[in-house]
Amino acid sequence: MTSRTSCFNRAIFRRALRRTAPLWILYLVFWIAALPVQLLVARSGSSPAVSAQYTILTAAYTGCGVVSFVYGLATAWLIFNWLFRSRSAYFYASLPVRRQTVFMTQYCAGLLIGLLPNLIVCLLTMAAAASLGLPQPWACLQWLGANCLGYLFFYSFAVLMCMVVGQVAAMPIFYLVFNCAVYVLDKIVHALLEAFVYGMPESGGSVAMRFSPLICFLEGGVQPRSIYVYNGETAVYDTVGYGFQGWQYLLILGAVGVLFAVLAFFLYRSREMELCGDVIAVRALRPCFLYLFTIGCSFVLGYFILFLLGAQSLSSNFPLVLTCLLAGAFLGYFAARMMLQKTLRVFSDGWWGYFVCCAVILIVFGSARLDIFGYSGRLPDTDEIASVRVMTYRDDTIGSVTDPAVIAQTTALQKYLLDNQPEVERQLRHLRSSDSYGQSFYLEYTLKNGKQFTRKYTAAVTAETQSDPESLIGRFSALYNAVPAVLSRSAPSWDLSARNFTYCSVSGSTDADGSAYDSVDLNSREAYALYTDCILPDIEDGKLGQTEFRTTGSQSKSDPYVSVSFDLTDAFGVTAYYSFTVSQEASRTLAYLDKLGFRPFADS
Amino acid sequence: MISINYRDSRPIYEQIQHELHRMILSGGLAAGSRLPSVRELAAELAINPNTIQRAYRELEAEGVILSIAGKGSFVAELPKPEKGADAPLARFRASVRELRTLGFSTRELHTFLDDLDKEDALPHD
Amino acid sequence: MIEVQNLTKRFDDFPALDGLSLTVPQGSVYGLIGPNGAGKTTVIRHITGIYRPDSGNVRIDGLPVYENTAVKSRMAFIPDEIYVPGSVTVRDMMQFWRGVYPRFDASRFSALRDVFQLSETKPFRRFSKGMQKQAMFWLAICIKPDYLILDEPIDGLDPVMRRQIWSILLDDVAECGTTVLVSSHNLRELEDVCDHVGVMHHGRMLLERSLAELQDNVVKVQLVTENPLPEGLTILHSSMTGRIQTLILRGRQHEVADLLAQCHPMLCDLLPLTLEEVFIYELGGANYDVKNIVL
Repeated sequence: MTSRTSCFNRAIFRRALRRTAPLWILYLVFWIAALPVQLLVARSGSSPAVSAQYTILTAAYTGCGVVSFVYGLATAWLIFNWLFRSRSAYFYASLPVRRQTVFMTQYCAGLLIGLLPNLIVCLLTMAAAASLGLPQPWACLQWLGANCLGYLFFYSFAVLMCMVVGQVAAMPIFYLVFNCAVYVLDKIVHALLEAFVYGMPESGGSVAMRFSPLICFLEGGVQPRSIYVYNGETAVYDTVGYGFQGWQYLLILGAVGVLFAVLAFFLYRSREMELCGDVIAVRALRPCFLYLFTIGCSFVLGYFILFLLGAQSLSSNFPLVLTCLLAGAFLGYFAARMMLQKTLRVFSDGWWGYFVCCAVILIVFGSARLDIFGYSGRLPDTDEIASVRVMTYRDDTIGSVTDPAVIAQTTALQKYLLDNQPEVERQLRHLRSSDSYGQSFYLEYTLKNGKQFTRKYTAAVTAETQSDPESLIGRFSALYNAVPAVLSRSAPSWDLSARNFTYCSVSGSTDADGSAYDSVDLNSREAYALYTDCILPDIEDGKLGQTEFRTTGSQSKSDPYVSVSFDLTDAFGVTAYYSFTVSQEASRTLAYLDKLGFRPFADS
Repeated sequence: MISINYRDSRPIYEQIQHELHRMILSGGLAAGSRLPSVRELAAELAINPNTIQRAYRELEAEGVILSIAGKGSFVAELPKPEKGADAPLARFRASVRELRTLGFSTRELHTFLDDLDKEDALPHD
Repeated sequence: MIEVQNLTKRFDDFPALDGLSLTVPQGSVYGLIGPNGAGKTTVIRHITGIYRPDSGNVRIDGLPVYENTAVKSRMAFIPDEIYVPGSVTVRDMMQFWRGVYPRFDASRFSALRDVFQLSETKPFRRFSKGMQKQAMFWLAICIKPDYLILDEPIDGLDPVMRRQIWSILLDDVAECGTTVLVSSHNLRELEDVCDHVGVMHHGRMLLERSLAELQDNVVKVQLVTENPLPEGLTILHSSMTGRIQTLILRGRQHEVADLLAQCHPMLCDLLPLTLEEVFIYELGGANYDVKNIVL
């Protein structure tokens, strides 16, 4: 062609830089105020080097996350918004410049205004830190790396959205939605499935979160972490510095960003200019948009309708859930067609597409309901289980139980649940009186081959079932109150010594009338003694830590009681909380507490 | 120099041709003088150069101008009208104009001249 | 030479162009005429490489236009709706065009400054529409294009400026052989400057001729005769007022005059036709909504 390389045009490059000038100047000013200036101004006491590291790395965390999210969007939107209006798009299309040149030039301009200010701020921060006598080159470089990777991803994704979405106001909406979509949909689908797939728990969301980067960043998927060194004197770990965790995720995001850029390049080359201003500017993607939007709306709007109707009581109400899903799909399908065809008259034809979506929804949820994949009916063999966890709410601090008797009891309960599914569900549907309720519980199995799965069930607690050992709640109660299970909820998995008891308090009735109450704090030695000598042995005897599942009416609040709370802090500074309501049988504990003046059961 | 009458429904090349012819006959453009080039005239009048070109070609076909390649177009030498004819011709012109304003068409004038020929027993042409 | 062959383009279900062919000869000024919605702007957007045809091809000097920077760098385009970028001045635009069009002539830009008399530092957005068009012409002329494509170019310009711009353009046509394609409603304007015309309707070319051919081949006659009309006359239209027949005939003046002499008319006047009338009679009938073409 000419001597000029066919990938770059200086005039277009300069124009892109000039258009975005207010933005990158603002960005530069923002970061200079947030980092080097911040370091120079705020000097905090004990360990200035460590706190400087913390400042820089926390800035890295916000930078690669929310700030890059916004800056990437703004940059892409400013540079590429000529694509959204036909006048400007036709102008660029008529220039004697190849499309690949226009794209590469403008994409690189956007990259430059993201990466160069980062470099400048990094150097300034290094200089500021050095001038304070606390050089932190590694932290600054980590800040630079995190920010650049985050920006690369968000900017490239925004550019891809500019290629696909042709309407100026729709593009930021699509950008935001796709950044959160997988996570939100995962939560909703699980919530819906939970309603009528027997045994399905709600989604933990950690995997889905990885596919919704904005949510991942907000939820701390990437963050500064303390670097600990063990201090022999105080027997705790001191924080001597900070690192940054989540590099693997960031690098993957960066690579995905490059992939998005390549994809955007090819989409741009094939884009037809006459579609400027349409919601979806690439003809081949229109059906994708239609069906994705329909399915998405089916879930989101369907769930929303269920929520308005009071979804809580709708577990195992399959027909209603299905109706709401189909209604959501209806709204989504025709709204998408209105957006694509730019008219309100879309009802006269095209119904077959809607029926296809309905069929898909029916098949998916129907096969879940009918347990075609054997999810609900899964019953592990006692031999293949390594440990179980029995919980009434999802809590990572509850330990595993490896006792074979308890494991056998768990699988027996599981079998009972599977054999009596209709009855269990029926009881839940017919909770009449106001003090009956459904008690949810989780059974988590860890198999010997390393696999793990969790089931969630709800047992009806009514006047009849609460005292029936053969009922579901009775059987669960037996399992839940087995000594190994109680211990798993009452003690942490690491070794204890007196210094771990950072707080302990006893509160309750001082006499049997229930009219006088007192509260006492114990020091760590006393707490350690109480815990190790009284509480744990009483639990092992089955006298303490037993939970009763009773209807709300039968619990009387004015009964005399006494309870003990412990804060146990490990060497890393993480605290676990334990609390015990002392029952009448817990003789050792009561004897100890009697010396402190607590006598709730003082009659003969 | 030349003005185009936009109300005139004759084709433009005809108007230009006619105008140039008139200027040459009336002596406004002397014999042997150089006409403006096609390009100059097209630019001056804001008219398509092909139109100008056509007018020039027609004039050349009539023998009124000569085109020399590379040099331009020049007014040709015309046979001089007879001496003494100037004044009667001028009077004739004025009379014709007067008759025209009275509503005589060119055809009627032709008919008049033919009748005059018959009267004077001169041959028609 | 601009050649469009059998061009078809659909926008969703709407057939904007339906097998359209046109040819713009080298060095000519071609007027593209048609009512609103005929597809003139669509054809022009194909010629300037904005749209990609569904079928058919668009070639300039035998080379396809789409994504062809060698061809496009010799072509200047002034659209009907001008893109007005942010807070850009004429000088900024000049720098931009200089960087994008390899043949941009900065000295010509300076030379034409007095002709256009526009402020180079005022934001382009603040110009009136007419001044914006003027600025576009200024820049386009400086590219020294071999092909100049104008879509409804003359709206908003005052007659003095119109004349000046056409004067410059036609000077280039005469000297460098620039080919100009103009689309317009204004027949009067086109009559002066065009030497070829193409009439479009419903995405097709109805009629494509050189102007000379059009004007020479239609004759208006006012006739009074008691004899029947001779054979071999192609009558496009006839009407009668009293004893005077007004006939619109196809054919050259001399031929028609000779033919008519055969019926010994008492009155036979050959009258010239305006371009508007030529179109009306060539295109025949009200089917073609010709009134929309003709202002």
